[in-house]
Amino acid sequence: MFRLGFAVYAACVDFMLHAASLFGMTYRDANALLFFVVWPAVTLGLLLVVVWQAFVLRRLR
Amino acid sequence: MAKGARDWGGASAGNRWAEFPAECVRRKGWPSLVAGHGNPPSLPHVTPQSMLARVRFLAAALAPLVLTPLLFLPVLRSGSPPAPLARAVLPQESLSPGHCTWYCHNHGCPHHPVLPSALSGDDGLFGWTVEALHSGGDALSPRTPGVGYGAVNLAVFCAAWPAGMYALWLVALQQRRRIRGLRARRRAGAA
Repeated sequence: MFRLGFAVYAACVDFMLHAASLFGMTYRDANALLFFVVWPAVTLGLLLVVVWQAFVLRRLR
Repeated sequence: MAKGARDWGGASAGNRWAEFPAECVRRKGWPSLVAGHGNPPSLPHVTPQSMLARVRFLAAALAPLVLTPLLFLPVLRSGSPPAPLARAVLPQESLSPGHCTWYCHNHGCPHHPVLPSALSGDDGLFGWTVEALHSGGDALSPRTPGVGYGAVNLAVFCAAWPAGMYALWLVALQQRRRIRGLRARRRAGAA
């Protein structure tokens, strides 16, 4: 279990390092951009869509 | 009537559809529609369009699970040398002036960040999050803080948050399907 967890963690760090290199950013920038900008934006967007759909469903019923 | 079978309204008259769900399970297929036996009132009407809609729904539901590894792996293998898929030990790399290496992860990144320090600085959101993850890791595993930090990191950013986003995606797809169905019913009712 520890080995698997470590492998996943290391793969994620490798992904962030390579993504940062691809986009000409630092490791910190890539982390900050993904976890503090992109993911919150996607989560908020999905949440808004779900709430809006619930409102539409209520109206249709 | 067999356990779990629904009464389609003809059980007492010897209607074979009285055992319809159980028969479906037994035959692993659609029972033949024999003239004179009558159709159950709530049988789903399967059309090519509805089948296509189901396939689309399934594809959309599975898309994040398929696209994430498809995006992850090429990026992981893009460097020179490409990163191994499964590491067993923490790599000890030297500082590179041009780009970030594992040195930046292990010792802190000395490169100049592009984003504002409120996001990626030590006194910004990045530093605050790393501190919070370390605190969580220390609480989870006080004797091995590095392991605890990694575990909390994985739990938050690889499990809980992605699972939450995926759940929202599935709810959105489900509600979209319901809205479309209700609108189609309304249109059919109006016509």
